[in-house]
Amino acid sequence: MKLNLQQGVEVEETEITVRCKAVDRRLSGLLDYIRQYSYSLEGKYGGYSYCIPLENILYIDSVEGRSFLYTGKMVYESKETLRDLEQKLGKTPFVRISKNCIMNTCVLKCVSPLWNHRLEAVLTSGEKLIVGRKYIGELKEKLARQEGLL
Amino acid sequence: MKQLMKKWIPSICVVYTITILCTTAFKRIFGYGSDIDGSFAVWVLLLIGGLHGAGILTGYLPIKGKGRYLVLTSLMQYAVFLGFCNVTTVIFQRIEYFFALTAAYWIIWVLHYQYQVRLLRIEADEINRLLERQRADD
Repeated sequence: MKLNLQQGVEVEETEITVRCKAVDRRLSGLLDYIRQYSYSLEGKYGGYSYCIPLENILYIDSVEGRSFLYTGKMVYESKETLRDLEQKLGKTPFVRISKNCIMNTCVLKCVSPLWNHRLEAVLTSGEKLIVGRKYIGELKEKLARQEGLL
Repeated sequence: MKQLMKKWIPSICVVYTITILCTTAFKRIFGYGSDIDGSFAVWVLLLIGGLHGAGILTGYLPIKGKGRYLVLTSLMQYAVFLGFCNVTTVIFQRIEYFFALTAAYWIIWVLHYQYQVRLLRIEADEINRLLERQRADD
C-alpha cells in the first residue's frame, strides 16, 4: 500500500482520499478509524457547550438517564441518550460494553477476566471499565472487524 | 464494603424472607417438610439457601436468563430447588438427604462456574490477541 502525504500552507481543509480497487474488510476497518476524526460530539461543561473530537473521548457513561463524555481530564454532559449515541457511533471504534457504557476501542489497552463473569477493560489512561457478559461478543466482533478478520 | 451493603445484604434479606415464606407455606399445605422451629438444622439450611440465593441475585453464581428477567428466573430457579429439597425431605423423612442434595447441587454449581470462568479466560485471551495485532499494525 502506498501512502502519500501532501503538506502545504495552501491547503485549507484536511482531506483524505483513499484510492483502491475494492474496499475489503481490513480497509473498511481503517476507514471506520479515519471516520472518527471527522466526528465530534457536543458536550456541556460549566454552562458552556463544547465540540469534543471523537478521538479525545475515552468512554461515554450514563448515570440516571444522563450521558457523560469522559476525555480523561474532563467530563462533559451530553444531551443525547446513550442509545442515540450508540447508533450514531456505530461505524466508529466505539462499542457498547455494558448497559450504561460505550467505550472507545482505540484506547483499550487490555482485558482481564473477573470472577463474577465479567471482563475488566483497562484503558491507556489507566482507567478500568467493566465489560458485561452480554457485550463481550460485540467487543470481540468490533475488534475483529477493525483488524479485518470479519 | 459498598458492594456488600448495596448487593449482598439486601439480597440475603430477600432470599431469607422467600425461604421462610416458602418453607412455612409448604409445611402448612402439606404438613411435611422443613419447619421454621429454630432448630440448628433449619438455620443451617436457611444459611446455605440464603447465601446461594444471594449469590444468584448478585450475579456471582452463573445462571440463565437475561436483563430484567434475570432476577425472576433466578428466583424461580431457587424456588424449584427449594421445592425439590422439600419434596425429597417429605419422601425420605430425613434431613440428611437434604444436606446431601444441597452439597451435590453446590458441587455442580462450582464445576459449572469453573467451566464458565475458563470460557471467559479464552474470550479475554482472544480480545488481547486482537489488541496486540492492532498495536503491531499501527
